[in-house]
Amino acid sequence: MSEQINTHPKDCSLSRRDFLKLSGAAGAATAFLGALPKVNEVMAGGNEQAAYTLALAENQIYTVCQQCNTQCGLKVKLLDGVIAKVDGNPYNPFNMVPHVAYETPITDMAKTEGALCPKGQASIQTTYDPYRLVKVVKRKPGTPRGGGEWVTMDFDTALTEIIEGGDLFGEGPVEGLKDIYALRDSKVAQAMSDFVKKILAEKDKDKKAALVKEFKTTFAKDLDKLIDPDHPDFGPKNNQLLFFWGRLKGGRSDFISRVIGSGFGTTNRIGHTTVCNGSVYFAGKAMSEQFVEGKWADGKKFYWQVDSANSQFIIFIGVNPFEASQGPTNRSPRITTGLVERGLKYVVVDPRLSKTASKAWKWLPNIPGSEGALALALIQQVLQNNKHNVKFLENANKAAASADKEPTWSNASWLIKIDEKGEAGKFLRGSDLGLEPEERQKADGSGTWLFDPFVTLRGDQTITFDPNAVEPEFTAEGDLLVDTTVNGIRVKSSLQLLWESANSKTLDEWAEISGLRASDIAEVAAEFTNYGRRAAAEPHRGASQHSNGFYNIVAWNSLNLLIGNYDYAGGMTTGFAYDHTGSKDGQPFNLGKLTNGKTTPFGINIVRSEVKYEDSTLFAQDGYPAKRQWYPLASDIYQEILTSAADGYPYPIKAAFIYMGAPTYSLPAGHTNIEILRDPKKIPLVVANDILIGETSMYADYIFPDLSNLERWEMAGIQFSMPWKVMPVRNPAVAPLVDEVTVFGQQMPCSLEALLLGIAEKLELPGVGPGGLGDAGDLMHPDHFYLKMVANLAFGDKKPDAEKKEPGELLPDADDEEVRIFTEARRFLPPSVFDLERWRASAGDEWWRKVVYVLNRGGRFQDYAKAFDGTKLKNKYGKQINLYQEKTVGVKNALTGEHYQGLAVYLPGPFDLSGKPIQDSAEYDLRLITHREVYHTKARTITNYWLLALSPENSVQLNSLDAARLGLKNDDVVKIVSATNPEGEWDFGAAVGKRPIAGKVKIIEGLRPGVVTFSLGHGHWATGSTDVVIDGALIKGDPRRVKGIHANAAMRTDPIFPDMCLTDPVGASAVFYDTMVKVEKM
Amino acid sequence: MATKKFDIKKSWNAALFILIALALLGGGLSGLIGRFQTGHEQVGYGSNVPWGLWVAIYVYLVWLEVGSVLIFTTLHYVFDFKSLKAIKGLAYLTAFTTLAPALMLIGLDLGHPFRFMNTITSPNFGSFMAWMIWLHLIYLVFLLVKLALVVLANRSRKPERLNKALKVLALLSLPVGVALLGTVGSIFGANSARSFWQMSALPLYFLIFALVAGSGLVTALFVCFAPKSEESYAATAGNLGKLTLALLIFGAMASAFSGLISLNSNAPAQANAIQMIVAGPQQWTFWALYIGLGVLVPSILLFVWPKATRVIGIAASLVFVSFAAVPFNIIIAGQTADTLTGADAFTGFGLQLGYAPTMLEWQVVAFALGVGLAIFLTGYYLLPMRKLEMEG
Amino acid sequence: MAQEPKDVLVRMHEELQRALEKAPEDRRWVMVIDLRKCVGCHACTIACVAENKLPPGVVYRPVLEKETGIYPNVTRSFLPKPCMQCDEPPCTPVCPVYATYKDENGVVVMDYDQCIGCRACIIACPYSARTFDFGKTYNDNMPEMAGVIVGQKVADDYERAATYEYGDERRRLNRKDSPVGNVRKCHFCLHRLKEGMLPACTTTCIGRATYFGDANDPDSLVADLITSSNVMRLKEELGTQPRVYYLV
Ligand SMILES: Nc1nc2c(c(=O)[nH]1)N[C@H]1C(S)=C(S)[C@@H](COP(=O)(O)OP(=O)(O)OC[C@H]3O[C@@H](n4cnc5c(=O)[nH]c(N)nc54)[C@H](O)[C@@H]3O)O[C@H]1N2
Ligand SMILES: Nc1nc2c(c(=O)[nH]1)N[C@H]1C(S)=C(S)[C@@H](COP(=O)(O)OP(=O)(O)OC[C@H]3O[C@@H](n4cnc5c(=O)[nH]c(N)nc54)[C@H](O)[C@@H]3O)O[C@H]1N2
Ligand code: SF4
Ligand code: SF4
Ligand code: SF4
Ligand code: SF4
Ligand code: SF4
Ligand SMILES: [Mo]
Repeated sequence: MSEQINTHPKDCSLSRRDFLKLSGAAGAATAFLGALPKVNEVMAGGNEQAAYTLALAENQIYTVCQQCNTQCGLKVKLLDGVIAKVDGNPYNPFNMVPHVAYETPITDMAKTEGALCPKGQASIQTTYDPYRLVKVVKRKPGTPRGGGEWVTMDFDTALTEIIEGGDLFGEGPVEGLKDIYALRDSKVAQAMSDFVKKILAEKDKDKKAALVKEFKTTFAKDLDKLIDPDHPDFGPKNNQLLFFWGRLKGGRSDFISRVIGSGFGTTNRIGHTTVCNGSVYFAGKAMSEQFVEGKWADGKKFYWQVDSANSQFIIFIGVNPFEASQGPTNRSPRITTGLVERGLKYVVVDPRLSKTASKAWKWLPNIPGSEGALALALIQQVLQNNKHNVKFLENANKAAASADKEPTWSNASWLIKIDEKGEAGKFLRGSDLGLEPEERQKADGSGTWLFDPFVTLRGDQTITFDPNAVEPEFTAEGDLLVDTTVNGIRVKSSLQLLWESANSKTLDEWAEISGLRASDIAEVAAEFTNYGRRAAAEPHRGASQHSNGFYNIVAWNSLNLLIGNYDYAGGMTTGFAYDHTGSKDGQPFNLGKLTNGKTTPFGINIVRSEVKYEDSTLFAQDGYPAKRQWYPLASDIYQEILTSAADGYPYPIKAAFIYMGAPTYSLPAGHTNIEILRDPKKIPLVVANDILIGETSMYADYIFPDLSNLERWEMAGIQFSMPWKVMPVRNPAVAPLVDEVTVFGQQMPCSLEALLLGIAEKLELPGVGPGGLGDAGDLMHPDHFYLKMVANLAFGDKKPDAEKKEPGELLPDADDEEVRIFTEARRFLPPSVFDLERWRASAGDEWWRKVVYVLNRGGRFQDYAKAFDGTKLKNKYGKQINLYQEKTVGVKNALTGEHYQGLAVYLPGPFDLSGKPIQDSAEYDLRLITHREVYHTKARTITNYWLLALSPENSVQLNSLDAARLGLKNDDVVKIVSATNPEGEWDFGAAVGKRPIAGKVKIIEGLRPGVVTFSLGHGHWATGSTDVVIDGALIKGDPRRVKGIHANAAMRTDPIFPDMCLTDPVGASAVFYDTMVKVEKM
Repeated sequence: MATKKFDIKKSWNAALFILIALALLGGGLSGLIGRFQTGHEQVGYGSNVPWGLWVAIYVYLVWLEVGSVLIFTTLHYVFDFKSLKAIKGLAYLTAFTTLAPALMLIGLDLGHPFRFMNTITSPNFGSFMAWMIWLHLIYLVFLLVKLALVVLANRSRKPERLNKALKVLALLSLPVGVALLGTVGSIFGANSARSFWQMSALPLYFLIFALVAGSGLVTALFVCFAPKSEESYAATAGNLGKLTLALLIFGAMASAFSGLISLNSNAPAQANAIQMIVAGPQQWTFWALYIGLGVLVPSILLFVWPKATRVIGIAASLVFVSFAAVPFNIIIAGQTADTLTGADAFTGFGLQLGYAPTMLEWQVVAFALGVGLAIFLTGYYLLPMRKLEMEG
Repeated sequence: MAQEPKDVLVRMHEELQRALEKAPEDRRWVMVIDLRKCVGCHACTIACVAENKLPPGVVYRPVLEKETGIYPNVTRSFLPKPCMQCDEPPCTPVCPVYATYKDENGVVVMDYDQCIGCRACIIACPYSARTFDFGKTYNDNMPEMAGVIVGQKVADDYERAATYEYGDERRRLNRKDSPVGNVRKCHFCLHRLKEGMLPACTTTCIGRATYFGDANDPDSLVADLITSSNVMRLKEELGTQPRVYYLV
């Protein structure tokens, strides 16, 4: 059934010439042939003068890069169906500054290309990787996980095994998905889900117990579908299917949600956020929580970044926009042009002299982990010198902000109640002043809620207000620094609390903590307030991936609030996407709703995110401390996934699917995940979807080959530093190199989609298959889904309104020429991928030409000027920003029962998950950090030989003072050991064995003494670096891929949870930079 | 001193030499095949040190080829060293012997050996390389004609006219030889990009070194092959030894001075180059081969036993053999990195900074020398020049 | 709001079309590299490798990196280094066979079919701008297991695909045909220029540090830049008259 799609003519110069003759391009081609400069005639030698066919639009397909997470636009240039070159997409704001007008005909752009970083340029090599898998492989029965022995397997057989289970590996019976898919009745699922919500919401212990009892009687005949009927909040057995991922973008995420979520009904669909920049996201979420019908809700998992193209002064904290930071390609030109043409000044806070730091006005090599301290020092200086934007900060609600034409407002002037111990708690409310709460209608008409207003103080007048009031008469402005008693209640304003936090240390003390000079700090503070709103501070991983990461980020965001730069050009912005899911009014396909049924997932997820421990039924049973930590303010807690599953807390996992992630490699202390995966008793079935045998998939039982990013679909999304509304569309640019398989009777390449559709077909999951899209028809082929998304994009987020004379965002039709080019350009794609009729039918005739219009441009991109509105940004966050987070204060550490703090504070790290400081012995005398080089990404670019030519091997970088102290020379081989990895070793399992965490020394000056660092991307043990055996035949590893060091295994585990890295309890960041290590010469 | 002399005419000697030739050919053959099969994929030179062992040996062979003939012709025809007549044919034969491996090595060094003809069909006379090739070819023609004349003269009953022509040709070829050496030197010395070569008045040094190596070769040839019976034998050998010693010391002093100047000239590239020679990874070629075996040992030998013909022969042989290290040192060192190379900026085959010849390169050299030796033996045994010599 | 009306890439692209209307001898291609904007990303290096399918060991435009100073007074600098297209090139006169010469575009070109591969020009170039093609491919010695993994034969397709240097279509199908065995160098992407396309290193430059154009066009960006006071050229003292300028 399976056959390789690969169409790789080694010599089809003929076919190209035929094509030239046939297509209208021949004219163009011969035209330039005639106009050859003389040199080429002279030099032609024996070779005939050749047409540079890469310059023809017919040989170009616009898609999206995924070498790193930035997702820049690509123009893929094809030669006989082989990718000959990739360049940047000129329509895409990531590749050009400004990008060209969206309406520009694609023929005009055939010879224009945007920029790409070196990884983008090398992305050809990710697709053309000799080690990529073409066929499904299964762990050879009788061999252990990680044993490096595989057998190939037909796609359908492999699927059947996974679904049916049985004695798959000669190790005894393995439960198949059909058994895990226990709860299948959609009505019951919905009813149970609603009931469980009630149970969780019940605060009273006894009433909760009663509810559980009631649940058991209500659903008596379906209790066998639950993981544990005594804990209905664990949800159905379906939750024992875990589907987790590393890098996932729109489109595919919707596919997974549909099949695994509303189809299969598991709540355990978990991403990698916390390994990346978790606390940046969750600080963003906490600070963006809005007051919605009496509760703090709608906090967005998102963050802000600087609109660097328009800024005059930037502080970059632990972020490296020239080499990483979601985008060297998009961010570098904006900053360098700023430097040379606009007099941009910037500061880099980084213990390491990054390439960004090398051009900084000031490089502040702080002590790792002191980022919050530095932010508070700056806050102190700004407030002390009265340089904060008083007018902005005094606005207490939307009405006040609107009156000042401010897009955002804060709660700086809101009053907070202070308890006897002097601790800040809840906001002062109208009811505290004796006002009767007001009954209001819920927006969805489902009932009423009680509005209890907030309070601010003006002089000695209390003002009560609604944060969301818009009418001018409800404008609320208050004093900023308040410490008083109102109605007998001790209160302080948010800003007062911040001021106190910032003054908990003197400037000199802050300087001491951060290892910097007080004079530098004062200078930076003075400069920061010199540019109005066109200044900003942007923290990222170097600030967030600490045990105090959440508060570090909150502190820097608070500094920005002091100058009110959110939604201003040159200030803080965030990302804006065209909606591909169709949820906007008028969009053609509302994919969230279009379905023929669903299994509503419910229950606490395996990493216990977005739920309070105290609300669970476990709390009544276990009390404090909880067996493992809970994370009500975060989600997608990567480091907790496999460790919790192995621990069976809150419940065991029976089958795990992993997509495009390598936690064993990417997590701090990732070696702990290897140990878990190697033991089939912990998780009996592990299935990976990967393009090759990777650092984590090598421990799987089955690997289903995936399409590379140049062969597949994805709605690649936004980056937060880009103020335009965008949706780059990844779409197939080249014939897939993997097997072709049949699902639902349709030919398609083996891929994530094929795997998901295959599962759906075999289990007859709702929302998939014939009629799966409800009124919109079948979902039997990926095209059925993705082309509808593109149609949504073509429609835009606003429908045209003839009456109001609003044009909406509807795109024009592609003209005949564009349709012709579109089709010609895809002539090398096999019918299983590109079938004109199927595509057209999937999108609908009405939308087809608009879809072509979008795909011809690699997605949809708002025009350059549309993002700006005078000094402000047109696309706005436009809401309240919490200086003080009441919701955060309401959350308790599940290990101690102590509540978290609700504003910027400095917590000296590192500490464990209970908040207890960690002090390793003095022999561990160097602080280990890690960084990115512009030419490598994590577990992936090791396959790109062009990039390896730039740096065949990374190194252990030390300052010369430390090197001298330790008697180390360049190129000495050293081992990195830490308190939790005293052997300094990785244990990769049966096939690869143990290897020391070792690399070569490189002595540099651009690193704070006392700190040691290594770059991300080397030190591989899979991904083609090591021998594997498939069907008994040896596939030799490539020695080029094994070089260098990956020191994540030296990163510290939590003293309470030795199976997991240190973790920020609030923002859930995996901690990368808080380990003390010893560097030993080998 | 014992009168028993090393004598190649003895059959076991012949066998030994044939064995050596066969060993060189046999040992080198797989390298040669490898060179044709894999092109330049198994070599140690690269883009930062583009010229390696083969070019060095080529230069060395040219020194021998031209130097020996220069010395011979000057002494014999200009200064009228009559007794050198005995090795007239041999001198030309050895010169020719060195020419073959030289051309072979330089040919194999090319990226496209078969395009060698381009240098004939479309030469750029603005380039020293083109001049070198042409001069070398002219020189080759001279040599062949001279060799032919010697052979003819040996056969002829009345060789006077032929010998006269030979003399004229020999004198005429003197400037060609000097020009060839100068051109080869200029190929290196005229590179403003390589200050080490530029600084060291290379063409002149090439001439000096060629004379040293050449005199060593001529002396060795004379000691070996000239009829010992002749009364002038010992005296001539002694004089040749003195000449060799003088040239040797002159050459060593001159290069030492230039080295010292370079080291102190505030020119880091040059100092680096010298460093590379005396302390680099291939320093043994400098210290052991050139200074030790090439200068110190022969100087001592020649100084202590100025009259012992056998010692002179050994010393002279040492000089001309170990001089192979000299062009190697000069050439590799001159290509040591300067600041713009950026070897770290991009890595890959041939982009490393240093140079060490690979097995394949050594094998090809061995094969080429084997070919040279085979030509010599063939010429020596088959051409009628031995007769003359035996007859005196 | 100071907003650039056009990406310099677009501006230079337009200027290029203007320049192409002139006779070759009336225009003067130059490259200007603004070291203040170069972020040391090496994208130009890789773009050039990709455009010209350069094999291992061949590089036209490495970016040199240097760290200077002592902690905490340290800085790093980056020097992208294409061929300088010297107006007095020391590399061409040494060629015994006229295989490399300055063409009418002012670009020092290679005639691959004429070049004998003697490497004298590498020796002569003071900028190490030339490298030798040893005949390798990046996918040498990769595994093969048809139907199971992609394998070398398919994986190296892109390395064997045609290149268009100097307007010639060449595929790397064996280890003997040119440009294997030749010296190779940056050619200012003549094959793209003639198409009206900027050099590959220029369009990919994420620091927008690389400018290209006709210095004879007084309205061009490059003409403007090379008259600024902070302009310099490498090893000016050698008299090579580079056509690559640096802004410092
Ligand atoms: N030392 C150190 N470690 C770090 C970081 C660091 O700075 N230093 N950074 C961290 C950050 S920010 C992040 S985001 C994480 C990322 O960590 P992960 O999300 O775990 O991602 P990757 O390591 O990129 O792993 C991706 C895996 O997916 C597979 N893969 C590659 N391409 C495809 C594809 O097209 N389809 C499928 N299905 N699979 C594919 C590969 O086998 C690869 O192993 O790493 C973190 N780890
Ligand atoms: N080249 C490349 N680009 C990428 C990626 C990639 O893998 N490679 N991945 C993408 C992804 S997923 C992400 S999340 C982003 C990450 O983008 P960044 O956050 O910008 O990247 P990092 O290199 O992880 O960290 C930034 C800097 O933090 C510094 N740092 C380390 N420890 C500390 C510390 O304790 N304090 C302070 N102040 N600084 C510290 C490092 O030296 C480094 O220079 O990059 C994206 N872009
Ligand atoms: S920054 Fe580079 S690697 Fe990342 S998406 Fe953009 S081009 Fe690709
Ligand atoms: S390598 Fe080629 S171009 Fe260079 S000098 Fe020799 S023949 Fe000329
Ligand atoms: S930089 Fe080198 S290769 Fe380029 S023209 Fe100048 S001398 Fe020739
Ligand atoms: S101009 Fe073209 S050939 Fe020269 S470095 Fe740039 S990309 Fe390479
Ligand atoms: S692409 Fe531009 S910024 Fe990057 S290294 Fe090259 S010149 Fe510098
Ligand atoms: Mo990330």
